[in-house]
Amino acid sequence: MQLWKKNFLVSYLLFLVVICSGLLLLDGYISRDETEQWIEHARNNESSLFYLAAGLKDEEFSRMSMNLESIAGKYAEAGILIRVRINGYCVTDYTPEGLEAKKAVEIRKIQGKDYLIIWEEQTRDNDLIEVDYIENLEELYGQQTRRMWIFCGTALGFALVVGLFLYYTMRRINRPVNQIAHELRTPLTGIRGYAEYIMMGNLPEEDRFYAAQQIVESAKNLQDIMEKLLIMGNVREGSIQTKRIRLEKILCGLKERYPNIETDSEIQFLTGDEALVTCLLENLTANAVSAGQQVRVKIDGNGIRVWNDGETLDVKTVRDLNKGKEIVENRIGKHGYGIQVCREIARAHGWKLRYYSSESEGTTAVCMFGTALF
Amino acid sequence: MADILIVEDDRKIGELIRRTLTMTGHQGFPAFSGREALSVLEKNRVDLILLDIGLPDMDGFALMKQISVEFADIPVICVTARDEVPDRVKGLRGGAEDYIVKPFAMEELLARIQVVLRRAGKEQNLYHIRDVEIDLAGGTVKKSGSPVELTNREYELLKVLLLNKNIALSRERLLELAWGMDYYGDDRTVDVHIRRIRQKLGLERDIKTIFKYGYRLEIM
Repeated sequence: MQLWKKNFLVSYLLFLVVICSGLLLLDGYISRDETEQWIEHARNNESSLFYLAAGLKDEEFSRMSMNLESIAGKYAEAGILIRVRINGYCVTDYTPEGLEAKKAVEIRKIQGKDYLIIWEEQTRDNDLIEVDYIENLEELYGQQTRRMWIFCGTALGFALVVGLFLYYTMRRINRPVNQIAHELRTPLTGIRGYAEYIMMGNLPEEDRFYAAQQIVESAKNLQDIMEKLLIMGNVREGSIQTKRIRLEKILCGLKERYPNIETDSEIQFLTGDEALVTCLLENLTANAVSAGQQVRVKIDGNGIRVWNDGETLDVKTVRDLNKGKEIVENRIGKHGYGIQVCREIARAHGWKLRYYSSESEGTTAVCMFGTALF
Repeated sequence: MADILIVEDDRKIGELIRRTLTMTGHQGFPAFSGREALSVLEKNRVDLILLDIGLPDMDGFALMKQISVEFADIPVICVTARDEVPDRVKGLRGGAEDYIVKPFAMEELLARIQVVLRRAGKEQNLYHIRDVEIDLAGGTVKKSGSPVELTNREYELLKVLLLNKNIALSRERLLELAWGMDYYGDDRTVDVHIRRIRQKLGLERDIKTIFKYGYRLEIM
């Protein structure tokens, strides 16, 4: 597995653990608080009931019994079971049979369901009043379970979105490095191979010279790639220094390097990093020169256009090029050299690099300025 | 020796491989694209194909698939910069006999070519150096028609020199190839054995000493 994929998995798992445990802790805290509030509320209800029973105890027994029975009935409809005993005599009892409370407040499972049991016993005017208050906790627990699932779903959804973002970002960072590392192999093969060729073979002077020339060219190629790697490193670190660039100077430089190309600029200045813009123009021109006989570099207020009359790129290649797929650069070989660097430079300036190719109009690389300032 | 098609889009590397193959007695046919490779295959009989995966006009894997259908008896060695395991697996499963990743040592490429040619039964076994005849299949060496007695090591050393003809091999490399990786011998051991081979076969002019490096068997 590639290192960046390992890094991604570790970061993602860490993130998943953090977000899931964070949400579970939050859920636990909310649930505990909610249960405490529920108990508090039940205690208040039970106290009210106790004071009511204490107030009614002096009335006639049948009247007291009827009143308490009516109240307990209403509580029962709401899922709260009441038992009131005065001096051991049961006045009203909606509780399950054989239930004896052991603590003042407890949560107990009865017939597979969780109940909150509050038991209060006090002596008032020599009368022993006992109130058992039993409330079904299924609703509370159901509510808490639902919330826990919502939290889990939210955590997973959030983790999925962040994971995808992280994956594509890490892949985007890694891909150009891969491509450049891949490009390093060819000049390295040339240097090593021709050096071995000189060393191992019994060669005439002419062949030795040819091999040495290839080593020098491969070394230059290697240097070129290294420079691009450094430029891309700077672009990625965000260390671009924008200023007003005089285009004439860059275009003259291009003309000197490639005397057969046509250059034309409708604008005199451009805002951007001079070194990077020069590199972008050089790369696009080098690709065009290697692809076609005639090359035209045109700059106007909308963007940079580098046209060549070379072999037409097929639709798939153009589509892949515009999507930034790495395979394309291998497919178009030398003509695609450094496209990734150009794309990075354009992106760093807020520009967009697009390719167009047709048999009648040739191939054009367009770097659209978008919102750039002139 | 073998006729080898070199499908490589980078002209420098293609030329390097062609020159190295020529130096060792093979004949190299260069092709810079998939279409060119197919055209060479239609016009020439080749014993082996060295195939780069990243071609300008088509994917090397697709070309290999086409080759495996139309020229099924020609073994293919992938020579590419792609070093990812899925690419290697795809190459080998796609019908390649071997897979070499750039940058590679020419000596390694030649060794792998020999192995693939041997496997395909296309390896040269009979060598002639003036009046000396060496039959690698039979393991015999004759000078002017008369058998020459060589020790095992002398024969192994001669075989290594033959298989890497026209290539300079260092003393260390000769020790490694003829004696094996585990042998802790002195460089002088190689010198002694080379002297004996030269004397027994009269190859004083053919086995060249490369100053402070090693030896090279030169055969035209």
